[in-house]
Amino acid sequence: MREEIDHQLPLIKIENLTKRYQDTTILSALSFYLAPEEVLVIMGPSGIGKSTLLSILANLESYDGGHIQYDSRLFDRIAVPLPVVFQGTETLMPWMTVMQHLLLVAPNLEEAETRQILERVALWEHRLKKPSELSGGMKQRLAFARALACQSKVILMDEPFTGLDEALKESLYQLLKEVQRERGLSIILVTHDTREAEKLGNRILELKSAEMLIEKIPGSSD
Amino acid sequence: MKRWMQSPLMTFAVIIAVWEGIALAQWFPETLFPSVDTVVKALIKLGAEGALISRIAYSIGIILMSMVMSLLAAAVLLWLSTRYKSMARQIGYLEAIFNPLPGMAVLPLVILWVGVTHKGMLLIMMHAMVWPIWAQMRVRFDALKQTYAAFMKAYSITGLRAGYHVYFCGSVGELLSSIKTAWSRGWRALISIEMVFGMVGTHTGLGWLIYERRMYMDTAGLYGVLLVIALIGVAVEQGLRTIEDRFRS
Repeated sequence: MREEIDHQLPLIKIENLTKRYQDTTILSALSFYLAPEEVLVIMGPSGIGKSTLLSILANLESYDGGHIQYDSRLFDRIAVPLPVVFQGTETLMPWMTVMQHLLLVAPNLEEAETRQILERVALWEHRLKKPSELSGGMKQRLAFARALACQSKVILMDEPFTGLDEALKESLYQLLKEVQRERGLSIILVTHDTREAEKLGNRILELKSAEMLIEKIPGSSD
Repeated sequence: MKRWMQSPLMTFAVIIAVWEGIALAQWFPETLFPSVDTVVKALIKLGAEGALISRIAYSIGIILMSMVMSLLAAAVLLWLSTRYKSMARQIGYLEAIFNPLPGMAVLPLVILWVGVTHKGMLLIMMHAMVWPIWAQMRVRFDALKQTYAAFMKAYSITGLRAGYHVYFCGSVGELLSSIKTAWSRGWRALISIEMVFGMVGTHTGLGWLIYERRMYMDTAGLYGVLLVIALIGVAVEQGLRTIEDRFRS
């Protein structure tokens, strides 16, 4: 059974968002919101503009029109605006240990909190290892732990499970859902994988074209 | 292959054995091709007179000083080229102009500007060392920027935190490798400069000692100094390689 989400007080509200690259319109007048404690999946084929949309929300790219309203509750405790879990694990740093990865993004993170996060993603025992000594799943868990270390209520994820095998994906889906519930996180997840969207999303938005964003109900065959 | 077979000492042992073989065969006059023990005796004599140690200390001192100055200069150039795109291009052009020029090629200009002085020697050494460091580090910094720019922006990693944790720690391997290249270029330049500077009256390090031994027709001593130069070069190379291997593992 899917949880009840409070849609009255969105954490992020996007209205008429437009993004252009020279003469090409990538996103045109898109509007949607992110409710507290929900996993919002943005789906669509490759190249449609999903990652651009996520980059705009993470303030990595500018936009040409519209409005993004972030709830002031988002910025109570967090060190960075919105942490992003990027596609693949290339943004892990080969010269840093697991622990150092967390301290890089959150230098003031207390030891107890660091331990709690790493234990939650089953990396505490590997805290002194470098990425080259970790398996694919461990690396992905580290990327997720790094985002958790920022103590943000919202996490953005850009196709984080691409390239992993199905068994590994399943275990990571479960971990993500558990941690999301425990910490009351809101997540915007970008993916092109329908199964992943169905498994993780409380709501699914399908980006059909620059201006067409359709809301799908998870579990429906449409 | 066994570890000792790959050691540079093995290379030296082979060279010495071949050398001794040729010397014993007496294919060349002994003055031109002295035996190994004559070379070693000449070296011991130079050491006892104190000349060898002071010249080694001078040469090593100059190269270390130049290395520190080159690293600082390369750091400034790197900061400028990372911070300002237009500067990156301009410094790139300078590198393309100066990097291929051997130290000896800029020697006449340096002598004109600052004379046959220690300052001149340092300038030529820096010219030999700064460009390989900058070029190698620049490539690494570009790669790091490309990989981590979005991540650093998303997690607000800027300033000293980005400079130290991402750029510096992420390029220690390349830094060591560039120091190795700079060292070999610098060492080569130093010996040549010392020979030229010695010729015009600034009697300094090992390069001058080679020149001096040749003037006195002390061929064994000359070979001895060459051997010392080779041994120092190999020792430093091995030391840097060990640090590099330890870091990469």
